[in-house]
Amino acid sequence: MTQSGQDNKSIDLNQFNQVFFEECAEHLAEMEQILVSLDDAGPDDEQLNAIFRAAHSIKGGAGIFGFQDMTVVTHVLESLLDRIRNREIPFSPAMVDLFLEAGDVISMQLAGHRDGADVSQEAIDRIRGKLQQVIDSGAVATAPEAGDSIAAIAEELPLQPESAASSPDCHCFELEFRPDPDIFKRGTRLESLFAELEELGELTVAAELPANLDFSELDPESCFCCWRMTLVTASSEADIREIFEFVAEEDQLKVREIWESSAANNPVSAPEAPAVAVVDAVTPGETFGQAASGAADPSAGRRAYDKNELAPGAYGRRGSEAESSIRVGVTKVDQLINQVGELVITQLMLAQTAAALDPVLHENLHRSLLQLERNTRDLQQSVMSIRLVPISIVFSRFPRLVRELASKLGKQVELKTIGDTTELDKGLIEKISDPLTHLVRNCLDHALETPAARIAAGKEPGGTITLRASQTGGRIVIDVIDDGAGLNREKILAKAAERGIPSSDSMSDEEVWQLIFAPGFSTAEAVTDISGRGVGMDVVLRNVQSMSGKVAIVSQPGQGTRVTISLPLTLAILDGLSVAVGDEKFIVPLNSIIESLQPNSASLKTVNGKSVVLVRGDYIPIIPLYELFNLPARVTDPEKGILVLIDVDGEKAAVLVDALLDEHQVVIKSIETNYRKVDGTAGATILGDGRVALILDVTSLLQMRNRN
Amino acid sequence: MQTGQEHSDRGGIGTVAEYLTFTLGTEEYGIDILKVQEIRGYDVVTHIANAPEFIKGVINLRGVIVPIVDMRIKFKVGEPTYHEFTVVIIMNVLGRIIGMVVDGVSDVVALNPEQIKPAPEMGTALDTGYITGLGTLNDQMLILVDIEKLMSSEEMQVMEQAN
Amino acid sequence: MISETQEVLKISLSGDWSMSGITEKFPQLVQYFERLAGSDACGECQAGSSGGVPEIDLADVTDFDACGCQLLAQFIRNLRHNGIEAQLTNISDAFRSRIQFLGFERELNLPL
Repeated sequence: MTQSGQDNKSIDLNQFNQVFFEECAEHLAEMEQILVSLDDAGPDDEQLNAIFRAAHSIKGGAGIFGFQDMTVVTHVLESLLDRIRNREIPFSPAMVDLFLEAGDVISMQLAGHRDGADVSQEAIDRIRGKLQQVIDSGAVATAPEAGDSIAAIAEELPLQPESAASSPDCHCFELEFRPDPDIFKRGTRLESLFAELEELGELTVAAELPANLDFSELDPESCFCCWRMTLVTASSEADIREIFEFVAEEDQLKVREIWESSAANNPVSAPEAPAVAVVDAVTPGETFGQAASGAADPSAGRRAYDKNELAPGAYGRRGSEAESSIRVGVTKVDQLINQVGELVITQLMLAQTAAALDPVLHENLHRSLLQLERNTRDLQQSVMSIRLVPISIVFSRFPRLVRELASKLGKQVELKTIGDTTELDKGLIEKISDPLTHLVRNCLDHALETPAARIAAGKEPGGTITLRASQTGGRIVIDVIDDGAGLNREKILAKAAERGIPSSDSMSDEEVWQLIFAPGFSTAEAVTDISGRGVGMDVVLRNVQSMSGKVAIVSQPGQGTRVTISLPLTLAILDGLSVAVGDEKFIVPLNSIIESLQPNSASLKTVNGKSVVLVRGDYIPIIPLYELFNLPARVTDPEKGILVLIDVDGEKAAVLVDALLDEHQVVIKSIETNYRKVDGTAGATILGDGRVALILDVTSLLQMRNRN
Repeated sequence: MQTGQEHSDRGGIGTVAEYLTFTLGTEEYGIDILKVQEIRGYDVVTHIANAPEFIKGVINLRGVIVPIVDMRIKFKVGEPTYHEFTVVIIMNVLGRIIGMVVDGVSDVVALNPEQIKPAPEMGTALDTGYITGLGTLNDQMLILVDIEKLMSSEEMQVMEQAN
Repeated sequence: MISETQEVLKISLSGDWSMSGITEKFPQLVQYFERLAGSDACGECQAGSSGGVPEIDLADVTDFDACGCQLLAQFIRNLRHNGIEAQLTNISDAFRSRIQFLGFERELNLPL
C-alpha cells in the first residue's frame, strides 16, 4: 500500500510540477522582457511592480512545490525589489544586469528541476551575495541622505490618505478550502500556501475535520481536512484565487466577500499591521521609511506588497478577465488540421456530385450543401487559427541580445519592434527565429557604426534597429531595418571576386546585394564571436526558402539597410488557382500571380529563339508548362492558351497553360513523405474529385527554365 | 550473394514465412506479406513531371499522396495495359507507402526455408541482387523479391538517395 | 510506550510526523487509539477525574506538517468522540506557531 502510494505521488507530482515549470518560465520571460525594455530613466512603478510580482510568484510557487533551493535567490531578489519599490534603495541602471543575472540563475535552477540539467551552486551563491550586498549597502547609502528622503516622502504624503479614502481599500473574504485528498501526496506545502495568503493581509485559519471517520480505517496520507479562513486584505478575489492556482480546482475553493470598506470610513477594520509580516532584516533606511509612511498610512507596517493595490491589473498581475487557455500538443492540432482538410475535400466531392443533380428537384439538398460548405470553411479557418501565434514570441528575445551585444561592441543601439501582434504559424515561428537572430547580429556587428563613426558621418551616436512584422495579403512580411552604413557595393564585389563567386561590375545594386546570399560569402573583416562564424547569409536564405519564404535587400549607402523576409501565412494551406495542361491539373499559388491574359499575335515575339510576350512595354519570357513537364498538351500555341503572369522576387515570367479552372484554398500535402522531391513543385493537394494535383513552385519553375 | 540463409533470417528463426504472390507478364513473383498494406484496383493517377516512365504518378490514398510504380514497364515484362482487373499492391516499405502495379494477385502462400533455393545468375527480368531466392510451390517457380532493397534502390528513383 | 502511572496516560511521539514519515507512524497511533477507545477502564478514568486525561508528548517529534497535524487532530477528535479528552504537551514554539498557522489549535486542543 505504501508502495502504490509512492507511485501515485510521483505521477501526480510530475503532472503538477509541469504546470509550475511552465508558469515559472513564463514569469521569468516576463521579468526579462520588462528588464531589457527599461531605459536609463529606470523603471516606472508599474514595471517595478510587475518584476516584483514575477519574482514573488516564482518564489511562492517554488515554496508550494517544495523546490526550496529556488526560493533562495528569488527571496533576496524580491527583498531588493521591494526596497526599490518603496524607494528605500535608489534604482540604478547597473541593477538591470544584476536582475538579469538573477533571472538566469533561476532559469538554471528551473532547468535543473525540470530537465535534470547541471546547476552551479557557485553561481547561485554569487548572485545571492551580490543582491544581498546591494540590499545592505543600498540601505546604508541612503541613510546619510535622509534629509532628501524625508522631503521626497513628505511630498507624496498628502496623496496617500486621499487615494485611500476615495477607493474601497479593504475587503474581508471568507474562504472555504476543501483540498483534493491527494494534496499531500503531490508534495504541496500548505504552510507555504497559507504564508502566501498571509502576505495579502490579515489571515485567520481554522481547520475542520469530518465528524465521523473511523480512525483505524483512514488513509494518513490523504487530506480529509477542510479549512475555513478569513482574510482582510486590499487584494481582490482574483488575487486570492491566483494563489490557489496550482492547488485547488474551481470547486475546491469557495471565496465569499463578507464586507468591503474604504480605509477612511472604517479605520477600525482597516488592516492592522500584523507584526509577523514585517520584513525580516531591519536596516536603518527601512525603519526610517516605515516610520515616515506609517504615520500617514495605517497599513504601512505590513509589507508594501498589497499597498494601494486597487485594480486587478495592479502590479502587472493578470486580472480576473485574463483569457484562460489550455495547452495541447502540436501533433493533436496537426491531426485536427489534417482531418478538417479531409472534411473539406469530402465536402467538395459532395458539391460536385450534387452539381449534376437538378437544382429544382433537389433544392433542399443544394441549400444544405451550401450551408455545409460555409460550415466547413469556418471550421477550417478556426482550426488553422489554433496554430497561429504572435511574433512577439520571437521578437521578445531580441532586446536582451541587442543590449548585450551592443555593450560588448561598444555601440549604442536602440531596438524598436513594430507589429508584435502579427500572427503566424507556430511552425514558422520556430523556424524564423534563427534567421532573424542572424540578421539582428549582422546589423549590430557589421551594419551599425560605432558612436564615433556615426558622429563623424553626421548621424546620431546611437543607431536604431527596427524589427517590423506585418501581414500583407496572404503573406507575413518581416523587416529587419538598421540605420547603419548600408551595404558597400565595392567591398561586396571585391569579396565575391576573391571567393570566386560569379559577379561583374555591371551588375545592378539589387544583383550585387544578392551576392551576399552566396554560400561562403562573408564581408566581415574579422571573424568575431558575434557573427561571421562561418555561417552566413546563405544559411539565412536557405532557412527562409525552406519555409517557402523569400528574402529581399534594400540598402542605401550611409542611410542603412532593410532586409525583408516574406513568408506564407501558414505552412498548411494555400490560396491557389487551378490550371489545366492536357489531362493534368496544377495549382498556381495565388500570391505569385500578377494577372492572366490571352495574348494576341502582335504581343508575341521571339528573342534568341525563345518566345516572349509584350505586356505594357515589358518583354516577359514564356514558360510553356507542357514543355517543362513533358506533358501531352492540347495547347502549344500561346495565342490559343492562357498566360499566367507570375512574379518571383521581381523576376517576371508568363506560364503557358491550356485553361484556367478555379480558385481554391488548398491543403498542402507533402509528396516527399512517400516519394521524392519533384522539381518545379511545392507539394501536392487533393482536389474536389479526390484526385491529386501538384502545386507549382514558381521559383523552381524559373530555375528549371533557366537551366533548359 | 543472396542465399536462403539470409532469407531465413528475415523470415524468423527458420520458420515458415508467408508471401503474397503476383504475376508480371508470365512470371510469378512473391513478396513478404508483412510489407503489404492493401490491394486495390488501378485508378486514375496524377502524372509527375519528368519522372521515369515506370513511375505512373501519384494517387490520393485517403488523404495521403502515394506514388505508383509499374513493374511491367520497369522490367519490360508483359504489356502495361490498364483495365478493370489491373491491380495495385499498396506496400509499406521502409516507412513509406508505395503502390505497385501488377498484372494480377494470385495467392498468399507459406514457404518454409527448405522450399527456398538461392537464385542462380540467370535471365530473370529482375536483377538477382533484388531476389532473395526461388521458391517452389506445386512445381511452379516463385521469384521472391526483396522489396525493401528494390524500392530503395537508385534505379527505382522512388526514394531520395543520400547524396 | 504507554505508561499508566497515577492514572495519567502518556503517549510519547517521536520522529518524523510529516507527509514523508506519516505512514510509518500511523499504525502506532491506531494501536493507541484502539487501546484507549476500546478500554473500559479508561472510560472510567475519564469519568472519574481530570487526572485521567491522556497526554500526548511531542518532545521527541522532529518534523511536523499539515499532514501530521491533521492526523493528530483526527486522533484527538476520535478520542473525544469516545469521551476522552487528550492533551498535547511539550510543544516547541516552532510547532505551536505552525499549528496555529495551519488553523489546528482548536482541533488539537492546544493549551494556551
